[in-house]
Amino acid sequence: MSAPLIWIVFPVAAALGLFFIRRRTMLTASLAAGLCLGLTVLVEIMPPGSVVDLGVARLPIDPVFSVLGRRFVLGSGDQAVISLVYGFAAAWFVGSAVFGSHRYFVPFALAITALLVAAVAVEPFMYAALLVEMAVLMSVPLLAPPGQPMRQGVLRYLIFQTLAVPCILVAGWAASAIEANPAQEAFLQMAVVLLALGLCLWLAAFPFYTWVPLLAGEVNPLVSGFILTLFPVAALLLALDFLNAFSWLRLYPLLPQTLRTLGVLMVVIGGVWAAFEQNAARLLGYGVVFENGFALIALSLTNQGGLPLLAVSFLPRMAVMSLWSFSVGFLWQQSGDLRLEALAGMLRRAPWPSLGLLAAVFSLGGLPLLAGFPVHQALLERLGGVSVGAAVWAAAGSAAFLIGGFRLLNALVKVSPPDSAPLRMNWPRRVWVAVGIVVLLLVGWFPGWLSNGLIQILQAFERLL
Amino acid sequence: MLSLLPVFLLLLAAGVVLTLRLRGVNTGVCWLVSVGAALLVWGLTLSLHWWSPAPLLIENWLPGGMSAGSMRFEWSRSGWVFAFSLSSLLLATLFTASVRLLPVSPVIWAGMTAVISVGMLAVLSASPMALILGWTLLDALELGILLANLRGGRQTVGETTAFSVRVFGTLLVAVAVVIAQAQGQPFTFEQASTPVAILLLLAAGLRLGVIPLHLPYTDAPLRRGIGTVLRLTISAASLAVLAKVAAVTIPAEAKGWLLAFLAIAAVYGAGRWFAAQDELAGRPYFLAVLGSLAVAGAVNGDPQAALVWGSLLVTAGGLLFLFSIRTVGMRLFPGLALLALSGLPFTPAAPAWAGLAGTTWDVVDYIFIATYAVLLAGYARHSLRSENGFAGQERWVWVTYPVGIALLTGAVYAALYLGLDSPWVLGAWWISASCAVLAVVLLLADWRLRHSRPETVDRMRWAAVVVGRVGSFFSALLSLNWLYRLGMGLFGWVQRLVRFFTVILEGDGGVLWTLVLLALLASLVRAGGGG
Repeated sequence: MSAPLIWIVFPVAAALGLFFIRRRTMLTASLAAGLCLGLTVLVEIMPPGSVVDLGVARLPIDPVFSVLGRRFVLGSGDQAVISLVYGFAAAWFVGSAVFGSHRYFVPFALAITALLVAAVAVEPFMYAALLVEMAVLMSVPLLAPPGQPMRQGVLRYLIFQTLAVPCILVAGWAASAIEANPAQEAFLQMAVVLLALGLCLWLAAFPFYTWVPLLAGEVNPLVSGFILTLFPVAALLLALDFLNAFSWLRLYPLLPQTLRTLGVLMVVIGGVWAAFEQNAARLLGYGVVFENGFALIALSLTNQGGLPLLAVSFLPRMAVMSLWSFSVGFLWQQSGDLRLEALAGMLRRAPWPSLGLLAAVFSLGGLPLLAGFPVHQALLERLGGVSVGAAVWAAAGSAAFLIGGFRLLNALVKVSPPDSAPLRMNWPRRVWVAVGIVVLLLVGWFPGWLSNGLIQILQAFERLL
Repeated sequence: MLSLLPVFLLLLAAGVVLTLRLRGVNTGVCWLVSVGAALLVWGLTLSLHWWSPAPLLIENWLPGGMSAGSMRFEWSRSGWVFAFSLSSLLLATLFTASVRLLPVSPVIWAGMTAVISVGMLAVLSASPMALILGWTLLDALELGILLANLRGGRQTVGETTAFSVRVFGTLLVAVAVVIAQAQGQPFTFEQASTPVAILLLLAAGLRLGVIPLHLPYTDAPLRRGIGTVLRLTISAASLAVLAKVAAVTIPAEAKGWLLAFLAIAAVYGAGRWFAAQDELAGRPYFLAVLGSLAVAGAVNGDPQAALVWGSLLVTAGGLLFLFSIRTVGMRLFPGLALLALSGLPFTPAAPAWAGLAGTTWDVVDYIFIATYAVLLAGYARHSLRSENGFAGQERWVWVTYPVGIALLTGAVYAALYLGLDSPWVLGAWWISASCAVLAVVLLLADWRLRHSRPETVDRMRWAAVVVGRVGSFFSALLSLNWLYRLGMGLFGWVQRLVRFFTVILEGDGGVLWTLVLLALLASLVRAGGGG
């Protein structure tokens, strides 16, 4: 039995099966959640590369699966990555079961998850671009379900994500040319520039970020939240993969400075634009830009211990995005209007989603006691060691993002319009939101407890350790 | 863990009271539990003056093992003074709770207990991370209590705005940590460099509720009891850090600006405090004046001044704000507190004058002294205001209420006489005497004005109008709310600019603009890289 069969092929097949029963949304969400949870548990008890003693036979979990001359490799180092991705998907599918979702959501989201795991596993790396593109195309029915128009944010998302494919493919070609002839400076520069461009397109880095708030504002938050969480995490894992694979990329002198500048720019842009945003869903979009900025800063601090912090940041990011998306999603389902004026008095009308939303926004902004603070603070301290100016700018970006959160808080505590009725939230949904808030508080109060487990993600990138 | 025992005991008590209330246990039992826990913690805190437990250190709290990422809580000298003041305030508030306006709510007592507990956590913090977490926890708790008790409207928005300003104050400490790290120094309060110390001063200043000025509570349950605890605890937690920062030399230019700014806040606060309708309406101004004096003390390089003013803010301030039964005999207590505040030789405030007057004399020092005289006159005026006596109160209140007030009066003296290294000092007796004389003159003038004959009042009406208009002008100028409004105006202007760029980038030509920006970025990178 090979590991890619279990954690890639099997979920894709399951997604296909779920597609045929897609109208039973509760059932498909529950099945997908169970499957993802099972895959998460499975990777812990029988990690890739191990031999499982079944009593009557011994079952080796082969890390490699070859198809058409390409290899999918899920080694023992990938254990934490698989846990993280399928654990996140499981939580999201539970949320979908509790909050309800479109009939296409579960099968396509499961397939996207498996394809992104495949992108991390595939060798040579340039095929990752094709797998990511497949995942992007799979997301189209989610973002623009049949009967609904294709909006500008979705179109721009498709354009920018697709533009990344040729960049990565040509970079792959240039990389193989460098291996054949390391003295060719032109190939080196071409590979670095195209790889960086491809990653910037994937990560919605400046100036390619405009689709993120557009998409967040146009699409059901439950869908946009899933896409905007999983794709950047996959892109960051691929970035780590590239850095791990190519010494010429790791040692490229301009790389840390460029990543740092881009990261700080994104933190500032995400923060400043969030400070003036009038829509809670679009705020989520700027939150993604902001968080991606911090991720790039972490990548730039490879020699200063930034990578463990990047790994640790994945859990708070996923928890925040889940809580935010489901809280905003509930308000969107109930009122359809997420402008700040329309949310006036919502803290009393719908306290649970309002609290969830506030916890998520403030956590992302780095408010102490919440999950985002420890990682952001540790990153800023390390950044300060390299460049005080950059650290101060990033801190200013964080402060600006928090202003967006305070404006949201001000809107939520205002007096409700006289004719507004309370928005009832059932118990499972309340529990889901409460669990999300508790997770953010726990990670914020005891960051050290979780960081050891999350740092295991870096085991997949042994040259970066 | 022993060093946080009082904190945990209070949190436990708050939880128990809440649980009892939810289970329908009667109010008297809840009150007894609250008072019992507060008494236990008060005694424990007092005993910790002589017996100091080992500090609690949580190393590498931040992921990645940064040196600044440790949390440390310890019973330092200043920590004890503030913790004792806070525990006395809690006990006095609970003892006097029975006379306050209905509804009497055990939930409010649980809230007060939790606030004091977290306040103690903040004043005991001895590392930046501990301080950041303590402050934030306190802010979150305060916001939660206020949102649960306020019914929306202007005051709620005002409170959330004040919360945001305090959070920015807290984040300045985080920035100070980053700067200390960049300077290659371990960040401790005792060894803070000048930029770091200035950031800490600004952080404490932002958290004192001067910009925007705290609005007085108008909702009955929040006015006297928990309102007092909330306001004083937040101020005490902010000032405690100033008492910990070692004396630093602030560059003369920055010092001048800081002192001028503090003098403006103090003048405005003192005027409004004196003129306020009652002590509760004037509470934000009282806090602003004492807060400004404390920060001025720290700016002048005397952390002890911050400790003295901070402690008096909690104890003497708390006493007046809880003082609602005003018999002739009871007036002795605020009188004693006023004496402590006066700074006359050998009184608890006497050691603070050195920090207020600085090393050289200039106009700001005179302003501070005049301001302080107005503060004292206001304190006396509000203490002498007539209000209800014990009539109509139950008999047991006749015992508990005076005990609470007497206890806090004792704490005014005990906190500083026990907590300071050299509390019995002559101080700058000529300043304190001048202040006292000025305060008496002011009080007499006020009394004379209020008791003028009707024809005199009619004859002087024009003067009242002129004084009123001039007062309004200066009030608007000195309130510093114009600074806040200026900031909001700037915010609106930038907002329009950001929207303009958003429309361009997200419009039909957005992709083309993206490519233009990419080209621009590439050219900048090439130029920066020397290519």
